[in-house]
Amino acid sequence: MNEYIGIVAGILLAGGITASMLILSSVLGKKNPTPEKLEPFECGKEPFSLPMGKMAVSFYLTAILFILFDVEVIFLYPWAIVYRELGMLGLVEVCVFVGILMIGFVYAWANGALEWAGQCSTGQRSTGQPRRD
Amino acid sequence: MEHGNLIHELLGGVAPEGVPAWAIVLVTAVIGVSLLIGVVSVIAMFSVWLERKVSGHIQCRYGPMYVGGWHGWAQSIADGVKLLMKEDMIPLGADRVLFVLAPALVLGSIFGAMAAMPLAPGFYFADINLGVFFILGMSALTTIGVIMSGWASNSKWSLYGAMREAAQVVAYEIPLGISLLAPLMVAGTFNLLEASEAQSGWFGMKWFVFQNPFLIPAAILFFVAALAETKRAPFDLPEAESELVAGFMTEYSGIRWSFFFMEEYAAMFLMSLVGAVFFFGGFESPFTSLAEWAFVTEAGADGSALRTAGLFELPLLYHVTAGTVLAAKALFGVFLMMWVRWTVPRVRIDQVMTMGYKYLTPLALVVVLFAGTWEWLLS
Amino acid sequence: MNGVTLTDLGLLLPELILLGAALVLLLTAHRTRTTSVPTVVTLLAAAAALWVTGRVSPDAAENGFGGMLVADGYARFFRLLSAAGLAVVTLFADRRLRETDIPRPEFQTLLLLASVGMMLAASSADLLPLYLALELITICAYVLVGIRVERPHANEAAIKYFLSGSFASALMLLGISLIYGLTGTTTFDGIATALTAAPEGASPLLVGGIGLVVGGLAFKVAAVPFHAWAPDTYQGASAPVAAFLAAGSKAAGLAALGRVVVTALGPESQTTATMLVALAGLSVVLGSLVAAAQTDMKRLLAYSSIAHAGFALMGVASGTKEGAAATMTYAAFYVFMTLGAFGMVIALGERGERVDGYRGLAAQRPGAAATMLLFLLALTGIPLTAGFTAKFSVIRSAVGAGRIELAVLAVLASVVAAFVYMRVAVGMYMKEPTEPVPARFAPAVKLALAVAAGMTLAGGIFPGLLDSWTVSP
Repeated sequence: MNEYIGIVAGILLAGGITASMLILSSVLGKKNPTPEKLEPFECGKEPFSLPMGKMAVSFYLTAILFILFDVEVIFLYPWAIVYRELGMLGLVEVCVFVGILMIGFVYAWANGALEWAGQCSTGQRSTGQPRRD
Repeated sequence: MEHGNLIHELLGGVAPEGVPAWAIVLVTAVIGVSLLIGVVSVIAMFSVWLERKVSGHIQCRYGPMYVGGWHGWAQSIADGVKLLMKEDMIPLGADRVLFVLAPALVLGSIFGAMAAMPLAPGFYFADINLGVFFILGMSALTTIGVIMSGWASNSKWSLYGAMREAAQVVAYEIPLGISLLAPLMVAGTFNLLEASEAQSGWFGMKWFVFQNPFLIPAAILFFVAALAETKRAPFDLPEAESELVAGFMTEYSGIRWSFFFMEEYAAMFLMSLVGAVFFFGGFESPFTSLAEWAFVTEAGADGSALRTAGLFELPLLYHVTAGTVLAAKALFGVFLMMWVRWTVPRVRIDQVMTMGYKYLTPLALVVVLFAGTWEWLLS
Repeated sequence: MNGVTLTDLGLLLPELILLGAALVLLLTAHRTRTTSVPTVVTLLAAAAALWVTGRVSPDAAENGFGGMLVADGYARFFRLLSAAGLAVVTLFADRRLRETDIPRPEFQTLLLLASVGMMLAASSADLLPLYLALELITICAYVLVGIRVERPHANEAAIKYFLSGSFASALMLLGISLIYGLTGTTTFDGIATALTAAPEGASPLLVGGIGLVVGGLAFKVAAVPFHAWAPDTYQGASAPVAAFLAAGSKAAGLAALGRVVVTALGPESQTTATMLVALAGLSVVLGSLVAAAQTDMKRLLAYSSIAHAGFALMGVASGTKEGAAATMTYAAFYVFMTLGAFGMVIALGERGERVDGYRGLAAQRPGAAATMLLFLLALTGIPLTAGFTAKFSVIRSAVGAGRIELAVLAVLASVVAAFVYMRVAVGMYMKEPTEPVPARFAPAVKLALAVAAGMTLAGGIFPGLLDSWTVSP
């Protein structure tokens, strides 16, 4: 476990250094908050909307697709390490595994899950809704 | 060949009797990681200066010229001191805890990721078996920090930037991870030292890209995905100054803003290091081989010298050479990233996502399968 | 454990056929959305799976995948049942899919994958593949329940099912880990060996582990007190999905329960019998009583399915091989009875989903009313229908195991249940019609109804019909 002492030390030191820089800055910097200065940025005007609106659903769709692929990649990492020992069987099995996942990918692609909402290139206006093909 | 940890050996030599082994390891780690963070901070500051010079020369101007004398070399230091003295504001309505925590998390996780990175054969502090896994995991934490900053700022520009960051990073995490599979298959290890070791031979040119031709497209894919992961142009949509003011850092000022800045350059350097180790030979180069031949005595199993030193008995010089070679490779990667930034215009968010999901991901999978087939045919 | 060999894959041939069909449907989904291709592919795959499974002798037993899966007569029986259920539901759903905007390839893919899960649940010889199989069923079922996105009822049902289902799965996983911790293995044989060798008396931890696993499985079969999801889910889901849940999902849960209780937990039969008797008794009574108060036909059938789950559990509760065989008989006949009743609900459309929608059906559609009457009689357990054979076999096994009180309770509950089903029958035959004559049934629905009715009748007239097939684990 000795190797991990370095990791712990690294994380603690990284946290310590960033924290000390923050503290140093708050000691050195001046403090002169004015209401205008503290307003959220809006090109010099009064802010006319706060960020409480809904985001386009594509962002969530992307996140869901990410789960699919990330699990796939996590499974592939240990495979890659022992690839030489597995030989051809390993290659074939991974081809099957990737093939099944690719079917899911093709499904998502063919059904428009990968289209970004309101693509400018197709001249559609952004409606915040996924396209229904 | 195996090399001991230099600092550890040094400390072990001077430590008094009775000091437990773990204490030496701990002191080694603390000294080493402090050195590492220092090196990375200096390189990040140097990269900031480099970026200004590179962009200047690409645009037919000089960039910083005055501070410090020669080509404005001290510009970054001056900027750092200035940013440290600035007033740091927290906008009204912001989530104060998250707002302060976000930049610290962003910078801290990159520094933490560095802990597993060997900078020279004998200059490492956490020789863990999960090396590259740990580095990718820690550097992915920066995304959390960016999303936190966008959420906490109470500004719509910040939130849009953060959401873009989230979408973009999750989309490019996949090709990044898959394209790394190809060299991992050749290396057979997550450990960065062992991966570098696996590329020694052929007079320092047995790089993974030369061992397997399919690693060349994998390296290109890795580079593109790394650009997106580090939010560099043409994938700098989370900042996108022409549409989102400054994206997720719109509301940040002073030292907290500089944390994001530092993180960007540190992340570029880190990604380039990973790419250098897993594609382009790590420490290995003809210079390294020469230095190893000249300065290092190879020890046999019983401790006796198998081969007398070529010229001098100076292993430190070998380590310095190897570290310099790796740093040079990584800095060349950083330079490439800058070159791309000032050459290619920014893409739209839908183009970013299309490229990530529709082109890079399938391409990366195909490349990995081909690389695997090649390896199998060779064995 | 060695690598997977082709012989191992051969054991999974029926599952692989269904899986292949599902993948083909997914791959072509964007082109087949408005065609009948998904239905045809599913039917062909189900027929192929039936044929491949039926070819194997019921007495053959083979292990595969390092003892994780076993292809024996028990697995064969439930594989046949799942494939047949899949085919019947597909036939029922065809018309409904055409009339609504349910995406057809996705619907059929989910049905196919859930059927794969059912087959795997019956052939698992290890707790982990069993858990994965059950998850495959339930995850497909969550989506199927909510597949009509535009209907708030369906969304509500899916969310309720999802929340309670994932909770039950998590608890079951906890039970699995407890059992694994106490016995050091997850294979059924290994658990049985370890439990036999263990010192006298079950530790509280073991009872807890067994309780969690049995509870998780009881959730799948919707036995009281793990039944609360069923009525809401059946009501909110579209009728073919409800039919699939009531028939297939329940059969798979019973299959898993039977194998776990008889093989893995065999040495602890005292503990499991106590739990199962309680589950069975509560389900039989509560299901029958509450069904009497329903006005929604799908809800009524949901409570009826709860009561029937109780009856089916009586077989396993006796802890003997004969008991397990009785449960198998019950599951098989119940699947066809309930599919038939649900099929009539589907065929009659909106009218079929209300209990008072059946008024005067005999005057308008004598054939349909007679078929419905057959299913209602079978669900009640009247002689000369499969329902009687099924009830007789489980009650006999309960009596054989000395559970006289449970048998008496079951008979009394049947009397209450008779009132429930006869209410519908009386409406059909003795009330004046208040609604227009229903449309003619589609040929596919007629075919499926004929299959279900045929099985229901055959099971009553030839009580020994399934005797050579019900090979308990």
